[in-house]
Amino acid sequence: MTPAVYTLKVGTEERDPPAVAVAVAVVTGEVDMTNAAAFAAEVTQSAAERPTVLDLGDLLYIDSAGFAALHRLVAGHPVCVALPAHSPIRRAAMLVGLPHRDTVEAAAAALGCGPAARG
Amino acid sequence: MADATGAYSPGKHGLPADLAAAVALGGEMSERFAAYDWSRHPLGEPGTWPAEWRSVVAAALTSRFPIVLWLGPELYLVYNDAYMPLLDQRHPAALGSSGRRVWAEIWDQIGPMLSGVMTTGRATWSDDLMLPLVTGGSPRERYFTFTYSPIIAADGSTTGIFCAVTETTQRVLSERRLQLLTETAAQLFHTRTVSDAVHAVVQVCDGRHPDLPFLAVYTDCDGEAASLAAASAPVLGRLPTRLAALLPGGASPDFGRPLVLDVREHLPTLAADIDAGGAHHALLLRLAGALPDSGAGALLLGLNPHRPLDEQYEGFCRLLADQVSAAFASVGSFELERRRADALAQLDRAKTLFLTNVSHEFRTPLTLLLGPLQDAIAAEDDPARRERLEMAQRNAGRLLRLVNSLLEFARTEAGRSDPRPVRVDLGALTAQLASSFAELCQRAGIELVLDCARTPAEVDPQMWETVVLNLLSNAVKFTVAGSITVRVAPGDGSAQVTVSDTGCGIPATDLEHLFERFYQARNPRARSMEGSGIGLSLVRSLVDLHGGTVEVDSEVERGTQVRITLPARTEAGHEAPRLGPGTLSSDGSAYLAEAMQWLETVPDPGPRSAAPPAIAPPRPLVMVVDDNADMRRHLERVCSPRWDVVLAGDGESALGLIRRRRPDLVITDVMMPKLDGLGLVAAIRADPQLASLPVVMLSARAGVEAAGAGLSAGADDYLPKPFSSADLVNRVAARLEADARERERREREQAEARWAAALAESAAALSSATSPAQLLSALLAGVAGVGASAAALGVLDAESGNVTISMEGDVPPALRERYHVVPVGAPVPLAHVIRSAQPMIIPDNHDLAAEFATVVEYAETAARAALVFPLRDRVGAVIAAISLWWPEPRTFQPHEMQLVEQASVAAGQALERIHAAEREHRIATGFQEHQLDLDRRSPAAVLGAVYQPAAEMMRVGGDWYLAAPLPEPHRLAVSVGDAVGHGLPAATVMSRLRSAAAAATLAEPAPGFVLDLLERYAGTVAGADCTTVAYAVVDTAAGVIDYACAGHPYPLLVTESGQGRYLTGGRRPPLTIGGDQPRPAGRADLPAGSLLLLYTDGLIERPGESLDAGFARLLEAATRLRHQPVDAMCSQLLEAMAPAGGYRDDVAMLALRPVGVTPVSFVATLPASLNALPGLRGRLRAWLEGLCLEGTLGHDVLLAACEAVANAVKHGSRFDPRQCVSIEAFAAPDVVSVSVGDAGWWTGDTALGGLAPRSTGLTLIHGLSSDVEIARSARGTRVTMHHGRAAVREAFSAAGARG
Repeated sequence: MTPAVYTLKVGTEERDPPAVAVAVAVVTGEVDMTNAAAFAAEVTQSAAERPTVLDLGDLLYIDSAGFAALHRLVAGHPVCVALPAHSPIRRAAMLVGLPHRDTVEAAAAALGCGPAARG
Repeated sequence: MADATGAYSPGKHGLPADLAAAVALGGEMSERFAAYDWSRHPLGEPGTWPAEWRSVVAAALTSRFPIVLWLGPELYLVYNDAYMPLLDQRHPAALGSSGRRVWAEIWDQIGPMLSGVMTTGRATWSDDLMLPLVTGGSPRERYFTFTYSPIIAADGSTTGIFCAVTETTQRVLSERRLQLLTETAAQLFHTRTVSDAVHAVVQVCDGRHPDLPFLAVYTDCDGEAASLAAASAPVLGRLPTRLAALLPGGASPDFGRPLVLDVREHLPTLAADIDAGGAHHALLLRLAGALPDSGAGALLLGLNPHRPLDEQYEGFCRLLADQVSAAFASVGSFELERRRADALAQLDRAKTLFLTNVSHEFRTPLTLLLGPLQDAIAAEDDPARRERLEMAQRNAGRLLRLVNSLLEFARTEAGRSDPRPVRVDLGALTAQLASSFAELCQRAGIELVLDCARTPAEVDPQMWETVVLNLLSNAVKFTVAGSITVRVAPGDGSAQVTVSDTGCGIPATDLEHLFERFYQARNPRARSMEGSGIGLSLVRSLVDLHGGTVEVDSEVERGTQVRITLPARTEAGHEAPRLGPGTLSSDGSAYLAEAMQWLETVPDPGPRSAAPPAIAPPRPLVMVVDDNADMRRHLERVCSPRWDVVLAGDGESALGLIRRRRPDLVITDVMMPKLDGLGLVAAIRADPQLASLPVVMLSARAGVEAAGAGLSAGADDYLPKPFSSADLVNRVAARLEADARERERREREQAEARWAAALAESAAALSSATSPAQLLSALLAGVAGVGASAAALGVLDAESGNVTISMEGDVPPALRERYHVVPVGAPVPLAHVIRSAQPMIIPDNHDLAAEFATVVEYAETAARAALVFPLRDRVGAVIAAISLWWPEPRTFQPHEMQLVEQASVAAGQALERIHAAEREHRIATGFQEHQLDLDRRSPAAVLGAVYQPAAEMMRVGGDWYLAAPLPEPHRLAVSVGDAVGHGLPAATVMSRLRSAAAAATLAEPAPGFVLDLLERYAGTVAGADCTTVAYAVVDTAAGVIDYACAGHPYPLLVTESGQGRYLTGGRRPPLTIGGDQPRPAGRADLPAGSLLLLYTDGLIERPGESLDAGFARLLEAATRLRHQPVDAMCSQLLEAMAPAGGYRDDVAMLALRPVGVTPVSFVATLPASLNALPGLRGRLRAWLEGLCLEGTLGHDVLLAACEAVANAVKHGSRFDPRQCVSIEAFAAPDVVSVSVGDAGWWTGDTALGGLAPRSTGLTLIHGLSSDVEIARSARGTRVTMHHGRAAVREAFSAAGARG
């Protein structure tokens, strides 16, 4: 058996004005208990550099371990989740009470600035 | 004469053969005869005796009849045993003695007879001859019947005498005594006085009777107690006059036993007679006194000096005394009767005198009443008051008439009435008097026919008026319809007056008493029961005074005719002053007025509902029943201020009214027509619907007896007339209040009884519960549930320190899931109560301490208010707690808490019992489960299995199931078997065969090999005979089953589409039965999504049913349940197939579903490793995508299922990759169900896991599913998630978003 696979692309584009830059991390694939820890570590790393918007709009699957990781990220790091209405995981996110915004822009705004980059 | 010694000396001389033979047969006398020394006797040796002597001696000695032989000229005696008593003291010396010496005292009598026989040879015959034999030293009067017959020698001479004798003394004495008693009885029979009786007995016993030499009677006479009343001639004048002087040693005159008096000592005056053959002794017997006031007497009897006072003699004396006593008693009762008659006559005279006096006394006050009443009526303008006064006047008048009648009657009785006859035309006078009844008869609907011819007669007009009015008023009283005819006609020297009616008539039994005073014929059909009973008696007395006669003819239902015949008087008398038409004396008017009262009818008051609409609370309804209209009006007036009143004129109409109007109380008169008061009460008491109606009885008959009759008839109270209005009102009010109290008490009692019954029912339901769920249901359903909407039971497991909680009723699923087991230290009220052993009363859970916040949050409103009580075992230890819940805050009443407390006691006992039963069950199933551990590790199929012990035994048995994973992951061997019998022996056999089967599969799984091996092995195992086995090897890669059945029920295969079939191939006999010929295995296709079921016969067998029916039932049930996960299927099949009363046999069942995917099912297993999850997810996602589910449903099903699998891996299997997690998913048009099973406990998801808020995984499972079932068992946990599609989903989606 192989563990679940996710992809995290963090935008690195320069912005103007280069005030406070926000990273936008687009997550695809699946996050579950087999890879949640790795995922959390990667996001933590990104967030350590700059506030990070997690764009989960194209994430195929995330389980309770993934949500637990997201909870910890949102609570302990400058991380905000963007989850558009069409997302299949939105219902689960609402069930577990994950704080999120509907769009990347809103999420970036919540972090105090506009999105710096898109992946 | 030989002396005694000589007679007894042993015989030295031989006897001739004939006598020797006789002696050998005889008794005492034979011995004596043989021993007698005849050689020294004049008769010489018996051997020398003539032949005739020897033969009669032989005959006598051997006979049992008394025989004596007189031998030779000296008549020497030889006798036999039977003759010995006659000889008395002469025996045995008499043997061989001469007759003259032996019978010296009677020789005068018998000597001539004997010598006569000797000389003439002619036999004598003596019948009852008295021979005064000396017996006991003195001559006794004895009687004998005997014959002397000659013993004739060969030469024709008489050489001796043969005598057969029998004593007849007792018969002779009995006869003569009986004769005396008979004579005495005859003489005493007609005596009427004590003196007569005494003289009669003395006369009979005049001293001539040998057994009664003299007789004397002592009794009360001439005022002297117990003195000599009479004596028989021989002793007359020679006896003491007082009994006391006779009694020896101051014995009481009431001595019981007869006393024997010695004449010389006690009756010295008679001693002189003794020598003249007089009595030596006398007997004194007690005589009963004649009258209750007279003392005891005595009978003195002289005794026959020649007879002993034996039992017969004393009995005779007693009989004589009894006869005299009986005569005295009969004389006494006659005397009493006479005295009573005298007293009655005297009383009668006194009564008449009293009546006369009293009647006179009455007249004065009555007159003084009537006069002022008359004045008051004249002066009264107010109609109501006037009516009341008129009623008083009418009844005072009636009283006066009654008094006058009584007076007149008394006068005639006393013979002091003095008619003053005048010449009248009796026809005219009678017609005139009778016509005053015309109007009354018209109103009563009776025709009054007057046919009065001119008839001269002499009567006292006043008295005649009484006669006519009495007769007419009687006629009206007893005639309800028809006519009354008064006819007066001159007869032959007489005047005939006839009053006839068509009334109810008088029964013959009453007819003869009709003219007796105070006699009243009771006729229920009369108009009234009023009357004094003197009317007709008075009529007769008055007619008698006129020298006439009265006759009555009557026929029941036809009518009555009273005929008076008066002598026609022609001589001159006073001419009567002519009366004006219709004028009556005041008494006459009273007759009329009284009769008028009977005609008043009571208007039907109609049903009670016709009463005016009640504004005030309805008043009690009192019914007044009286045949007197005045009395009715009076009672109505008295009662109406306080109660509603309804009236009835007699018992019959009252009864009808009572049934219609249901009064609260009845006041009734006793004497009424149709149905009287006593009958009314009886009818009321007999009607179950009316029985409790209080009845107050009124009657003019005063006295304790009358009241007793009323009360014993069933009246509640009895009020004699006259009564005061206040008294009546008080009594009725008291009775109504008592009745209301009684009713209230009864209602309260009924309520209490209902309550008690409900409590008992509740307790019974509690104690019959067999599971915590039933216990809770029973609690909620019963009164002890106090209307709670839900209930919970927390049971402490002392070993683990956990509390397992069951909930019933309206319980939020989240609460149920989260709190199914908690540590005893948890901040949960149930646990708290178990810890503290104190109940908790929670009126509002918002007021609970902060520590309970979590559970309060979960409970939402299900348990806003609660009562929590500890449950204790027999020794008082807290073993559990019970909690009742209400959705709203509420306060608890003391009785509610008491109820729950009581229920908790019953529940505690029930729980203890449930635990005991569960322990037994657990031991049985635990053992079996341990034995039957199901190896689920095969990746080839999902397995479910169940073992059910037989219901009544709950113990181990011989059924097994087995799953044996094979080295190739797509192959799996399964088996179900049944060793014969129950209990440990069967279980042992089962265990060995099962192990053998499991071992055999390791070597070679082919069905033929395994069963052959089992067959051989079974031959070595005791008790394995006839074991049946089903065995199958499943190959999911090839989609086939290879199977064989050794005498076992066919395995069942059900395809996904619902086609079921039994696998009937591969048959072989049960183990150890079959030979060794090769038997081919069966083979069947096993398509993906199908289900294989192996089971033992206990599942399908029912008593009285064919196996085919069982097979059909199983096929139907399995087809219906085919989309259930295998575990659920097993348990549901077990439930569906259970016979009434539970399984008689144990059941093992194994269900298998091969892994595989079809468009509507997804079956998979995976090792308990997280690494297996993504692969499963991929396959499941692919299957879900194939279903084309709406919106994000596919994702939700996937996420929920994977969370459940993750939980199973984490909590159920503890990441042990040797464990298996199974997934069975089914897609139906309206729902997608996913079931995830593991072999462990999800302890992490419960409150045991540290009471953290629900884990994210569980939140997702619950939130994403429409419905979640979690089944926990010792085998593991199975979560089944149902996801509604389309419309169903929308609804849940909305709900989910809110949650």
